[in-house]
Amino acid sequence: MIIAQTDIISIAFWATVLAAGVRLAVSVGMAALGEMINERAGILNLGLEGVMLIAGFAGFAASFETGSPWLGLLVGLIVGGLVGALFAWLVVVLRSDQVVTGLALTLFGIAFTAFLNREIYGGGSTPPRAPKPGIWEIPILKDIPLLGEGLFSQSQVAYLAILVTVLLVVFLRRSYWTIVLDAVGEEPRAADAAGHSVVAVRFIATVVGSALAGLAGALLIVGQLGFFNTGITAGRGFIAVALVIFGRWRPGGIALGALLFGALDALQFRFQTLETAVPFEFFIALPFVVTLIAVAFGSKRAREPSALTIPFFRETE
Amino acid sequence: MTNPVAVGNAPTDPQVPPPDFTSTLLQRGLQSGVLVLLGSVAAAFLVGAILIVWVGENPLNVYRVIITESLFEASGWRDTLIQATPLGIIGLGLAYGFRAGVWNIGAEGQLIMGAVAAIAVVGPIRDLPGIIVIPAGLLAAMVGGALWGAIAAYLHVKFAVNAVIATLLMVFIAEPLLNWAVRVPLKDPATFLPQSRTVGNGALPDIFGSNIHAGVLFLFILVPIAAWVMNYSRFGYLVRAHGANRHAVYANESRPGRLPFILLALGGALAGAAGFIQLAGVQTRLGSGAAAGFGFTAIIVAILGRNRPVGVFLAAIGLSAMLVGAEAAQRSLGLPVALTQSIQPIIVMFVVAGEAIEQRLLRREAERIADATAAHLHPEAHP
Repeated sequence: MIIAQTDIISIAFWATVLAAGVRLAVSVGMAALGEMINERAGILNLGLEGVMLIAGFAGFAASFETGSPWLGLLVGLIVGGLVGALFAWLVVVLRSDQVVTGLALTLFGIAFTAFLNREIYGGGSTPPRAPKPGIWEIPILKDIPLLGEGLFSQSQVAYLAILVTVLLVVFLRRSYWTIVLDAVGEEPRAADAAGHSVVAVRFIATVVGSALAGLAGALLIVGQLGFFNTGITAGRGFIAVALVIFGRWRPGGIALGALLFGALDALQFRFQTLETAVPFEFFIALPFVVTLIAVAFGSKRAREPSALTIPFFRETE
Repeated sequence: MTNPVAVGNAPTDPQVPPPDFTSTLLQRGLQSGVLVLLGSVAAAFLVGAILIVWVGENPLNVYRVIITESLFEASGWRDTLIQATPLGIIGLGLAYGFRAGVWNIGAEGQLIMGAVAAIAVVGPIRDLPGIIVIPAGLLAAMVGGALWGAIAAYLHVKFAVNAVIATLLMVFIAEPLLNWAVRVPLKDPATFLPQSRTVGNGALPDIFGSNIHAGVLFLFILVPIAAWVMNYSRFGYLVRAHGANRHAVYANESRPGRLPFILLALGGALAGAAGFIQLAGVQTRLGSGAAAGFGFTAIIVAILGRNRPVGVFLAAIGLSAMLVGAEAAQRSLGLPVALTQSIQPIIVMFVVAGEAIEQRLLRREAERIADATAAHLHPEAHP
């Protein structure tokens, strides 16, 4: 590689990569956290990419029409939950095949948002831009070398996302409902015998998971990019599904995986602009290569929830 | 509840007519299978009609255009067959995987790598006679696609990576590789565009007396072979058994991962073949838009075809006609193709939901028949 050596070893270079990495990590991490919740209840949602696109587009439209990115995030969360309710009705209540329904939801999301974008915003190569939320700099801390820019000079939505993540992790660690969630995902018959409605728990978990995925889509499109394009999530929904496996269905591992992916994604953007002997397309592929390898090393030891993708029937039905 | 099969020579009362349970279960299952499909298509078109009204068009007019332009015009039939070819070929490979419960979602990437391999091989020999160039290109494409599928298969079998994740992430690796290939090593030096040189004598000839390229024949040859292998060969039996209960297959296999590996590579080989046929029959050059979503639409084709080769063939024709009609509607009415593309996955959702409901109805019916039979055979126990 003929990257200017001074560039790549300078603290400024890595500080900006880290800052962009955190920005990219919050979206994919939020989606993965949502997927983790519904998977722990036994519901695999491969429609995550579609949910992110539909909710992200709705959030973008709200943000563009009202000028408020915060409203855009809220709309993303709500629309994500609504799409999740539809998905839950299909796979939890009607007990449709989860893999097929999820994939169909993703294909629907890609085509449907492309259609809406074309009808409403023309779908051209120079899409309209919505206002982005401001940056929030924390005095003194932001001047810490290397970490300062990444952790203490971020978009306001990034802090919100981190706050939501921390609250969620604390809730999951301390809550009785986590035990119910895991019981439904591991031994639904036992949970049923203990008096918990498997259908209700799975329905709620799927709605909550999709709402978080919707928020993730809005974080990416409203909070970070400020514009919409066909298929703009570019596989991040599936990366999120992979991160759940990599993180072994635990929030800590998922957060770590999200940061790893975010950093690689940011590095990829940087390398594209540098003059290197390695073609820039290789860097575009890099985050996917590393995710695949990471999942490969994580999968053998990972143990998915026992009842994942298995529909539940009560004896009396 | 008594098992009706295990009654043997139980006493029967000639006064009570035996319950009719042979016809109901089987017939209802077969009839409603078709009903579910037709109902789902109708329901999805209803959703589409709402969207068309929202856009400000008359849905009846739009559907008339889609149907006449794709099925009742000579050029429409030609385009329908040509687009159905890659969909059907890929769909057959995916159907074998899906039938066995092996989820290959990455046909888009396998198609891309097949096309890249084909143009890499065809490029230097493109002035040789077509009889040499075409088989060489097809073979290269199938090997390229199979290798790309085999990488995902290796990760799935050796490292227990979820097949959906492994095959799909490989798509996002194939896409930048294609862009690099047509920008640097395979680029046509005569243009500034990122595209390869033409396939030269590798171009597929038209079927005699028509302007439909010969690649369409590949689909027509493949469907009966695939149907025979699925239904009558040992391999097809293993595929079906693996889908029904993979542990039963593994109990008798010395190498449990072999079948998923073969199925993912086979899916890749067929996706690669489709890539070559598109390249040599339609595009003539490789550009960055080589795959055009065929790999993803083929997933819908396989599912709507119920993972059965003949079904896949019919689904490929049907979905292809929808897309060809939608393109005509976009030209004449300005209606986006994306609308039709959003209706297709809705059909899938309705079909699997309808199937789930049907399963539950059949379960209840089976229990009702079992109870009725038990009551007939042992009236004293069922007052």
